[in-house]
Amino acid sequence: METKKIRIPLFFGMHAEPGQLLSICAGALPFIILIAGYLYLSHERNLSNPDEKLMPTPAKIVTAFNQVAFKADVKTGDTIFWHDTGVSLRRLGYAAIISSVLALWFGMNLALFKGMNALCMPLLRFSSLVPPPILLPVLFLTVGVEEASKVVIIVISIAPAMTLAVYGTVSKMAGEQITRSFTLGATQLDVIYRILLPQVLPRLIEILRTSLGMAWYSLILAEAIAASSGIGYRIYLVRRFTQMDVIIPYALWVVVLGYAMNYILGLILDKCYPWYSKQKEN
Amino acid sequence: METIALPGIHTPNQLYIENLYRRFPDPKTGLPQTVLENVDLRVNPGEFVSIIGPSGCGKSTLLRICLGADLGYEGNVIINGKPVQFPDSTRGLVPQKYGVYPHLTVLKNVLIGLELKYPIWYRMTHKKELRAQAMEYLNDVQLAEHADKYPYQLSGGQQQRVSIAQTLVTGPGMVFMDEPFGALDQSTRERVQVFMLQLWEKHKMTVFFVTHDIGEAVYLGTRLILLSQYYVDDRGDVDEKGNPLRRGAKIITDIPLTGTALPTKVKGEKSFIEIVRSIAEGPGFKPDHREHVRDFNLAHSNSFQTLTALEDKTGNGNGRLKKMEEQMIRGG
Ligand SMILES: Nc1ncnc2c1ncn2[C@@H]1O[C@H](COP(=O)(O)OP(=O)(O)OP(=O)(O)O)[C@@H](O)[C@H]1O
Ligand SMILES: [Mg+2]
Repeated sequence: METKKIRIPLFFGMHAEPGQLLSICAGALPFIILIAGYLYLSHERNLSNPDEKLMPTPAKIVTAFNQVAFKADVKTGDTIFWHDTGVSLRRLGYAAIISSVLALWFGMNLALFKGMNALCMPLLRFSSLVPPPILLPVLFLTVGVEEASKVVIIVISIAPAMTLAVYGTVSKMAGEQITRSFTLGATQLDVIYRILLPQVLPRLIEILRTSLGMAWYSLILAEAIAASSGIGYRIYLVRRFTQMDVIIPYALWVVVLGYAMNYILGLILDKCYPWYSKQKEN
Repeated sequence: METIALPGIHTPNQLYIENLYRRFPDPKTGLPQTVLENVDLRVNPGEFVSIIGPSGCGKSTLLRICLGADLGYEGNVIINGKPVQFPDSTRGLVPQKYGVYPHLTVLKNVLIGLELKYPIWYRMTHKKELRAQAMEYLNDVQLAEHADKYPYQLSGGQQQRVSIAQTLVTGPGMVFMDEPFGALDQSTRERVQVFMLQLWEKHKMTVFFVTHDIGEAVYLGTRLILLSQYYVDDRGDVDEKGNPLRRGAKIITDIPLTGTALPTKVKGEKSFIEIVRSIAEGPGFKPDHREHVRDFNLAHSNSFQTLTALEDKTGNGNGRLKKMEEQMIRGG
């Protein structure tokens, strides 16, 4: 007897399995609708008012972008766009490195040494609950409005959560695996540097990856409030002159940068720690 | 509790346990709940001790205590002549699960045991030998062709074999194995059993081997220990408050086995089948098949039992170290 296999639905329901092509098309659809809607509206508004600022046409955006990205500023000699990008990325980079080192060091110590845990854990739990924006004025009053304060605010907003995440990872690994390592003749230093650290590093990269969103958020906030350059500063500055044609490319640019960072970290993870993402699957 | 100075308990790779209790707080009431109750055990160097018992009776707990990974016990646990120390390379472990390092390849997983053992200058000058030795062990557990894979690329049974090789390659004087062959199919299991016996013949380390397979226990061991909470004693069935008494596990059977590595075919022999059957149908495995503490089958010559006055009101079994004393008199 000929039997027919049941049909798997393409899109609707929990059994659905959209193919690759359909997935790409479906994913692109909301973007297309958004862009089309924007183009239509900006076109309409520009027809009725040639000075339209809220929804500039693509042509206006390109012109404005050219202005900031490729023309040197008269005063400083820098091109504004690249200068802003460099400044912001530098702040972000310093903060990411400092936070990672802090999270790694404190996270492992807290998980491995009970005394350390008793000493630092309450403070860590406390500080992870303080919303970073509250600390902004305090920081500007104490550290000042120089570069350091912007890096510090990012570190404050991501390091506690990163530390707790590292702590959780190491705590879970500890116990059985440490006992086993000792029975294989490992010293305490061996356990930390040969057994645990190589397993924590990829996890740290993953934690950093998920913290990047928060890092950007704090960066933009700090720059908006007290800075004289940087992406956040620029967006908030031009907002006063309703320069949507500058804000839009900056916003898109932040998305591109965020995506690129995420991608690079993912690449490092796959290349240097091939076992990492796979092992969680089984 | 007074202790008696016993002859010969300072030998390396010897284990001496007396009046061992382990209690955990009950998750609901918070009251201590006894898991191991007044356990006594003496194991001489080179014995291959098979440990069986119903699930949850405390076999893994006993191993953890012997390893020094669980210091919450009461009583005496003496290993290598000292109260049990923190885990170290004198006592190897093949855990029930999570044996291998996920960040190392199979070969590196086995090599790391050797690398941790030797100082760096030795490692640098003997790279080839160490590697060859690791490969030899991998070969013995049938994993040589998987040497460059990561653990996530292996099946559960293959990972378990890596874990076995990793521990045994370091050559510990005592090995604690917690259901090491549980995940293996019959033919692989038999090959690894033979490998295990060959190693034991060669190095005569002291082995503690937990298994759920009575046939395997009888086949491998020189001594069989049955740990179980299903027994009766003179305390009756209720505690002071009238609640049903929950006893912790004791060694209720401790018998010698043939003691030499038998060829696999012996498993089919009548006497072998007979032993396995009598153990499986004997007391300790089913809650309703219980024996009195005075009637335990403790035929092994190293076996002894120290009962409290509550457990044994007649005092007959309470000739502390009943067998040991006899032995001391006999042996001088
Ligand atoms: N850390 C702990 N806290 C509380 N109870 C525990 C703890 N560890 C073990 N137990 C209890 O002790 C008992 C014995 O556990 P154990 O793991 O030693 O059993 P087992 O004999 O190895 O069982 P299995 O054959 O299933 O592996 C169980 O009832 C368990 O609930
Ligand atoms: Mg167990």
